[in-house]
Amino acid sequence: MSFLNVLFWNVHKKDLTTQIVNIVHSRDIDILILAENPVSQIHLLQALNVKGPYYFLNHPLSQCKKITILTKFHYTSIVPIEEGDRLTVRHINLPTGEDFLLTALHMVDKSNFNSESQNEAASLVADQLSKVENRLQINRHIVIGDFNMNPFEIGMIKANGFHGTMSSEVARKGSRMVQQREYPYFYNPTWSLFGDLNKAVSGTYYYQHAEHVCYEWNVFDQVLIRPDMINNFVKDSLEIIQTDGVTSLLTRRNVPNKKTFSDHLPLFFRLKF
Amino acid sequence: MEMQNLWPDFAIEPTKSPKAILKEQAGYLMAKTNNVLSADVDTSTYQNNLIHKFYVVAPAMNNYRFEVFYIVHKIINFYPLSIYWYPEENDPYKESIEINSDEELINALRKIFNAPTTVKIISSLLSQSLAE
Repeated sequence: MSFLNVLFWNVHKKDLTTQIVNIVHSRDIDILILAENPVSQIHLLQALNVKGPYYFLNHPLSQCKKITILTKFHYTSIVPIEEGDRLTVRHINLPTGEDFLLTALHMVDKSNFNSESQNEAASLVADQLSKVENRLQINRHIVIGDFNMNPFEIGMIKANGFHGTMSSEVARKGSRMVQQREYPYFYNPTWSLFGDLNKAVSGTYYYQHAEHVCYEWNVFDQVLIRPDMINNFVKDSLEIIQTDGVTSLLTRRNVPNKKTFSDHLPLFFRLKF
Repeated sequence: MEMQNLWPDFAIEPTKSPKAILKEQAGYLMAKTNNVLSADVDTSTYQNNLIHKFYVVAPAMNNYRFEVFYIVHKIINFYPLSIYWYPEENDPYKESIEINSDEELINALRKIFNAPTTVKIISSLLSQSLAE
């Protein structure tokens, strides 16, 4: 059995090369996905490859400037299929002969878009992803990124949005009929990341504001898995990264140290094949 | 009694639909790139709106598609419509332009097609396609 270690991190337009390299090496990351990365890929690649030429550049065809993907396998095995300014859909072909779609995205944020606009954006993107799956006739699909919505928000759960469910058993049903139209599920394991029972943090993003309703902790960074890939997902591997292996990414109050690092914490998970 | 035709005379819109304008421009991209690149207009509905996404397609690169912009208008009216796109690279805010006529739409498309970001994307896809 082989494993693929995946890391997603919105680095908040900061040069976090040292922290990225520390995490990638300590976690043996195979697919590194960055949002809002200001550092040139070449610079990052050189920093990653100090111990040997293990990592490869982002695919040169990619025109999506908001997402950078570096991998331990050559970029010809992670080909861009469809992109926009906020998302990239890749077709991954593994040496084992298995293939799947990997979408990385960065959805519109809450400071510039109200919840209705976010909801509409979710519907548009979900429809786009569904069309790509139909065009390629591939329903093995993983979507990862900064959704700028919590897993419980309308755009994440509604049938004509991402249709993400917290239950892998529900997702295994495949799809749900609503008004004579069939909507496929995504399994969204990131529901399980809320709260601090087994970790110091309660989400991936902390934001306190003076309103009556304020969650303070949010899980904006999520992974969605189509039913046909649930068996490839190693459930107990899903983790919010709190340290790069050398330095904590948190303040003394256990919230993301956004002054020094990013306002988002990285998300890690493992796939098995 | 002989049945009469009760329908009124219907006015036929003399203007082209926004989708027809986009499709026409898609064809012009093919001509401009010697058929190396093409463009596609993908239409979907959301609530009472029609959404037309404009993609540049690179057939030589396994039909890779890049969404350049999209327009939204009511199902029953072409105008006013809104265009959403990124005017500059790394601009965090998607610009929404309100359009009230086909003339305004054509002017906005000219602006988008000639924007440095768009030209850069098309040039990159063109050169990579030609290198295949």
